[in-house]
Amino acid sequence: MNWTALTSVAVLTASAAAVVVVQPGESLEQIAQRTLGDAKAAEELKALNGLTDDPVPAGTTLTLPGPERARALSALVAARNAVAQSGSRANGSKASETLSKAERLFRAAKYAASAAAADETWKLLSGATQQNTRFAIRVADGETRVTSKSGQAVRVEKDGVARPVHPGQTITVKAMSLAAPTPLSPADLARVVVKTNEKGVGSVALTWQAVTGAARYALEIVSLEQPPGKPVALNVDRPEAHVALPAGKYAWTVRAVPGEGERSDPSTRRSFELSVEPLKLEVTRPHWK
Amino acid sequence: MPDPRSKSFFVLVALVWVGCTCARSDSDKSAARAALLTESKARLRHVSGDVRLKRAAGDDWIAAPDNTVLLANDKVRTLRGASAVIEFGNGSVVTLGPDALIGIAETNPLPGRERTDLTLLRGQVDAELEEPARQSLSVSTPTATVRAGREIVFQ
Repeated sequence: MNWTALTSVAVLTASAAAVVVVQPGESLEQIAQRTLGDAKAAEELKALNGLTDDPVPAGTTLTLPGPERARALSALVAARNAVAQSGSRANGSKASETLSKAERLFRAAKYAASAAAADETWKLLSGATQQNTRFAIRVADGETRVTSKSGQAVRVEKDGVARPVHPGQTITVKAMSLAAPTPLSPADLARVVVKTNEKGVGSVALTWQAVTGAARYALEIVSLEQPPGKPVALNVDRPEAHVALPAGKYAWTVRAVPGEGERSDPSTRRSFELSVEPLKLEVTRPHWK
Repeated sequence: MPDPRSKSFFVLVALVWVGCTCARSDSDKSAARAALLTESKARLRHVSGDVRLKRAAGDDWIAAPDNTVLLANDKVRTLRGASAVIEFGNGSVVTLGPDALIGIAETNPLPGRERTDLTLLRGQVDAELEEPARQSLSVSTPTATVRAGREIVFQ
């Protein structure tokens, strides 16, 4: 991201409405792109702030649209798609007219009126789906089962792929089994030297590659000393763990754990030897009395 | 050797700074709470049986009475034989069956993430939109996202 662009726009959030201060050399399109994610929204900023000229003098404070813009945009997008799909339906032309009106009102920053016109467009084209939309979702054993019962079809998305489920249909989405994590550090058979704490143990950092879809990780560390101690089992949210252990030889594995469903296979087993340096205490005489 | 008086001065400055930080932290918390209250997303209705609630900022599961206001990131759990209805502000209704666990989703998700109303982690929910032309509902699960209502259009 361009640092100049970042610093060129100062967005101030206030309790009432968000505002933006125009920086030297900045155009309305640039402000619209930065604040609303759309350079074409400059026309809205112009209407919203009653501007007649562009460029706007540096230092001018402009009001930004509130949450009603997002609501109107949502209605507008749905109406646009509905009109695009209406083909040669009898009421298609009337819907196109109301859509044009909604677009015009949106550009004029009259968001409530735009949303109403967009809703009108949708109503004109969705006469066949006036009944209640009812559907059921069940999550069990790592699977999601969606059943559409009445009204409009529902959309089921997974990994960027969307599929409609029409009334009377059921779709089951199975969880992908997670890949086993790949250990990163310490390297296999590494000798790790750490400083001891007051309990005589040192903290060793274990890291592994993050696994897509993992909600957490289950780490298991076993002592290779004789007699073997009780394994240490830890659950961590991130692909790393700092574990306090006494000096000795250890082996460890880690599994990826999804939010729901089966854990992955364990990672390849890694071992390391931990040496603990005693903590040096240096007591100095204070300088003041 | 430093002057003890200057040391006292630094201690005083440090205490003032800590005091300011605490005061600011308290005001931040109340502001956040106020923001949450204005962002109440849904209401729990028709509670039957043992229904528990865990607030976004809390660690404990507490009994959820009828008419509880639900905020972003709250979790609701129904135990065996229990059920409840969640009514969203836009009129869409979700019925939780027994042994279900759901989360109320973020009101304002991070940029790049699509908005969802509800996260279903376990169990079954039955959803209904009385006016699909005006309402929308999206439910995410560990394996999929389900969207219904006005915002869904198939190309």
